Amino acid sequence: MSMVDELLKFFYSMGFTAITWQQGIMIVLSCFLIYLALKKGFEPLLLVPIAFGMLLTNLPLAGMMREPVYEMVMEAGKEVKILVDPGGLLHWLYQGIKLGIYPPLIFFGVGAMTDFGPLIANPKSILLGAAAQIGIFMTFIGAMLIDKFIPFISFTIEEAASIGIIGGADGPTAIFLTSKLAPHLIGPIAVAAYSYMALVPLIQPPIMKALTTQKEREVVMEQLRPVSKTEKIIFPVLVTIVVSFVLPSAATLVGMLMLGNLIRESVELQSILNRLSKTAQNDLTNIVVVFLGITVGATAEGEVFLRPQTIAIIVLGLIAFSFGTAGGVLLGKVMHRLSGGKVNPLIGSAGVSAVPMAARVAQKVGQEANPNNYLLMHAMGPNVAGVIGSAVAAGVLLSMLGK
Amino acid sequence: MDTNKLLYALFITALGMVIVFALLMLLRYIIELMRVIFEHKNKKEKDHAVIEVLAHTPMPLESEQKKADMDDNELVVVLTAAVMACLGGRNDIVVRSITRVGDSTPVWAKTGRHEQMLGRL
Repeated sequence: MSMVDELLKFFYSMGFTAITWQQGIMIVLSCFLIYLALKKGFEPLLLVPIAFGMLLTNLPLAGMMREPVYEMVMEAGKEVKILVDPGGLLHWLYQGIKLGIYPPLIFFGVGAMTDFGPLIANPKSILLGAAAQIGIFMTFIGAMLIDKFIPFISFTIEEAASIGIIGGADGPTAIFLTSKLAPHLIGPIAVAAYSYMALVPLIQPPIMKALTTQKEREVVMEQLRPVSKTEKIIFPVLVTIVVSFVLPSAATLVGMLMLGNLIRESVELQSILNRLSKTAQNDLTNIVVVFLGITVGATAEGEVFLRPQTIAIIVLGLIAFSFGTAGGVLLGKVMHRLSGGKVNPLIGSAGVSAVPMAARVAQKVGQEANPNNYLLMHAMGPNVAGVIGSAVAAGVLLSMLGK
Repeated sequence: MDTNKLLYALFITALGMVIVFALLMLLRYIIELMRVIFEHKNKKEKDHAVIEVLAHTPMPLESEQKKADMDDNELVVVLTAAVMACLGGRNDIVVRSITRVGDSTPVWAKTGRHEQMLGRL
């Protein structure tokens, strides 16, 4: 082989000779997302790994998502599998999503970080967490009907359910359900879910203000009763048993969430549990977030991501968030009437989970109406109920549509 | 898309919302039941509780929370104990009067505090 041939061979092994236009766009897009995360502070904890995962998976010829290759060889009359190529790093990390391992682990950490006290103190607020799930189902129907409006886009029933779950405003739940029902859509759905969660402070207030009167927003709620330690410890165990008996498919998410919470609440009884509680809240969650983020980003391969469907998913996701917020606020209004004006309907908007961002938004909008209004703790009730609600909704969809 | 599929989707939606509501309603009543059980227990132990508050005074918050369902004498005892604890366990204090002070914080100070809090949220 001549030197020219050698040089040519090297030339063709370089990335830019093999780049497709989709990969080019995705690389630019991932750089833009990194900019948004770092400069604009859009959920940097998640968006940096996601955007970098996107970058890595779209690098031409790097093959970080490639599957392992085996060769079947006859050896002494038997067929033997020989590993030819071990596959890309991201392919193996992706198994945690494909097999549904990372999202429950994140839920474990979320449970250890969540105080269900406000919910236990005001059990009625759990209904607001249920009402906000209407966004999931409305979007599900919307995704099924989309081919009536845009003829060249259509979704199967499993895909529609995965798109609807964006309305649960809960990243891990959305990824969990999508990995079971429509794994090829994980990229767009996760990107839509996490983008809208970062945009909650922009999306929710106009809807909240449109649906409530100034007088309703000004309502100051009674202080919550103190919750005893015993109640806080019994709560996670009870919820796990009740939810899993009724809806076994929700057991994975709810079970892990409640295990984290039980460890958190038991620290005062057995201080040695503090080690587990701290690990769940910090180290474990951080590690899983890195793996989850990078592999979610890695599913956004240009050829799959750059399709009209992705735009439809992102628009439908916005509809899901808006309907969820509206559902919560409207039930909040009903409760406002029934309670004789004691409930501020704004706390209903926090029912879309997105902990604790949605509760902060309720606090902020309430305080704009009345500077003496502190809704944060009241909004945390529906907020944490929303996490349980969206896990239950995911369980329903999984049990009806799962294979 | 055929009508059957849409009907099935509507069916899932209806059933889904019903299950979500029913399950969370069930949880709500279970939490209420839990409260009833523990409030009942707490009432029995209430007399002990006040003494306990006296014994472990370095938590003035707890005594504040219990304020609502205590009569004034208990309140005086608790507040005295809290003051004593703050002063490092001195027992030569006599409480003569406790007066509720009106909310005299000016609006600008409140706004400032809100902004600070929101900045941390």
